[in-house]
Amino acid sequence: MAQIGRFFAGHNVLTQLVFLGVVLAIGWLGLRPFKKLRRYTGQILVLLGILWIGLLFYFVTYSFRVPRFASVATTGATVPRFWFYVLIPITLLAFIPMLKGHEVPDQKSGNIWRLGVVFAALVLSLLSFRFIGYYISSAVFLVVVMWVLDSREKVELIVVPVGWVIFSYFFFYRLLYVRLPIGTLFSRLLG
Amino acid sequence: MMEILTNLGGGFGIMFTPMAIFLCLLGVFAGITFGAIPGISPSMAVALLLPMTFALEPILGMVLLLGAYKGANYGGSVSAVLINTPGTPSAAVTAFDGYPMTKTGRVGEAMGISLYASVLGGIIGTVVLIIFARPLALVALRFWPSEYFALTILGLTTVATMGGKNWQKALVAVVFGLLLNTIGMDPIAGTQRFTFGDIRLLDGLSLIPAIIGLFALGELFYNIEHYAKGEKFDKLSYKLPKLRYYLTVWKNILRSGVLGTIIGIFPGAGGTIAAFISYDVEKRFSKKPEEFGKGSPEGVAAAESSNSASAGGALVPLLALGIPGSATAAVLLGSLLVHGLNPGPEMFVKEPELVYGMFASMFMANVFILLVGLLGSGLFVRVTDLKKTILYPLIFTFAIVGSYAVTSSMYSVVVCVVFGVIGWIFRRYGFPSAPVVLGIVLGSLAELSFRQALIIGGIESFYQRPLTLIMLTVALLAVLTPIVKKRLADKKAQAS
Repeated sequence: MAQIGRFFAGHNVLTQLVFLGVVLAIGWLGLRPFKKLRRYTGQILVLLGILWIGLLFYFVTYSFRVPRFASVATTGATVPRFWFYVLIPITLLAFIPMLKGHEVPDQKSGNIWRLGVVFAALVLSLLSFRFIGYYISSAVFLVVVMWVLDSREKVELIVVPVGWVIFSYFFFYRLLYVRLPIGTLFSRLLG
Repeated sequence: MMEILTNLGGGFGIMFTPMAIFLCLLGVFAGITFGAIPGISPSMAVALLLPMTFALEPILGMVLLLGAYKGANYGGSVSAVLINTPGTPSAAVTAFDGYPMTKTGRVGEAMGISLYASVLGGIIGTVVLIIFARPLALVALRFWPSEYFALTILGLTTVATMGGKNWQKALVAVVFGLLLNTIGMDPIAGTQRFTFGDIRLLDGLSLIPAIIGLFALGELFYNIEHYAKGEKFDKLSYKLPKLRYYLTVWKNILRSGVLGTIIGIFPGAGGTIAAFISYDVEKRFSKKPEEFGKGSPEGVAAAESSNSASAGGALVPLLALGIPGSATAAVLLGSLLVHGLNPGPEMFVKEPELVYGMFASMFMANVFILLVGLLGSGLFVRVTDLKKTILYPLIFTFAIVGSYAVTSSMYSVVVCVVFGVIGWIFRRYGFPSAPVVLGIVLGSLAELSFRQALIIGGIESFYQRPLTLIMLTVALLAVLTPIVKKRLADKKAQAS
């Protein structure tokens, strides 16, 4: 158990996400033959994902260094393990209505493409904070999201981002002292 | 009692000066504004105004800060009700019913109830503070870790009613929150847990970005997925209900106010736990429990009243014993210390004018909250007049800045976005998000008190201390009662 724990603890967060993806993919493939359960695919994968996180935490607790005074009742592993023990029956309990067909089936997907574009714009915007700073980045993000949501009025597309940048500078930066990133580009330009 | 009334009269004497009135109003206005912004907590709002108090008389400085404290507690509910983005963690509970009410065009009711419940809850908290400050503080100090643990378990039982028909999924969600809460440094031995080599995770997951992500971004992602071109908000007719309407929830306000004050007294418990527990209690008392989570006025009243009352409760240990029970109380303590004042039992004797002036200012702050709320609500509501094509992107940027403000680092923003994705997935597949927040809020206190209790008194402390035993029994009954009731009802239905 300790070896498994050390294996998982030795990988970074991104790799953990890959592991989670693999588990979910296996779960999805495993559900294919069961026609009755297919309409609950999303819900079952959510349960599986949470259960996997619990299991991962459980394994990793075996890699914790035990402090010398650990004999006093508990260690850092006690509580995470306890929550995992609680999680197992509860997950089963949530799965039973799906097995019986009593649960409401997964709802139909909406426009995943649109959401994907907005999410990608959000991630790119956050990544660009470091380079072009918050102000330009958020202005561009606002324009992109407004455009994706079918806003085509030029005045809106200009006034909203510019207004937001001015508001956020004076309200957050000047009044509330929130040091929003100005980015390496501007910090170099401004010395 | 006569002594209290005399001193209180003196306190009001100080408050009825133009400067005190102006500062109280300024504090309330600033507090509501800051509180409505996600990421600016009441403690941050008070801390931001702290430098302004250095040049003021101690009592005037406290008037400003207490006004901001009370105002921020109410302000959090404004954004929670209007755009499902709680300005403060405790306002997350207000969003459960406040936002559904807005979505169904009952924004006036939601705003009105949150305002009146906040004001009345605040008054209840202040009255309890004035009358029982010293004895209650002493009782709170006698609490052992086992009692704190029992209190958190009592808080966790609220999940039994929170999930409604989806109670199994609610249970999974709360344990998920509890598991996520174990990320970071172990509170007793300092073991690094589940950081996977990322030192930013040592402090654990930040609560405020997590809440903003779960509620605001989760809802936004869902709405964008299901957005249809040219879609607009239903035109909301904003009209505050008549005073008579609020009488329908007076019992909820009173009960939750008292409960919120009591929970607020315990150092470390705070308004969020108070709001969760009061919400649960009111759902159990309600004749229409099925409406909770779908737009129940009783739910909004319970959450707001207890949250506001807990602010009074949090000042009990501060003023009576000099122990700050919350982050905001710690900032207030700092302000008192800057002026050379040492809160504690002696302050009631040596500085009665200051202590009762503070009490009077809390009453006045409640009046100003009502005033600003009545005048401003109509203006706040106009935010929903914005087109979705403008409002959605703006909520994104608000959420990002709000999260960034918590730690002034991108780490909080990443936490917010990750929880946004979790919120969206939960929303899509019918898993309630609120229990995740409950798990994250209560997880730390539950673990710390559980392990402290074991270290100090061993496993016996959980069944040998009467108060612990009573609270744990109540918690057990709280979980079992709805299940047994449902079983009995099912059997009855089958039989008939």
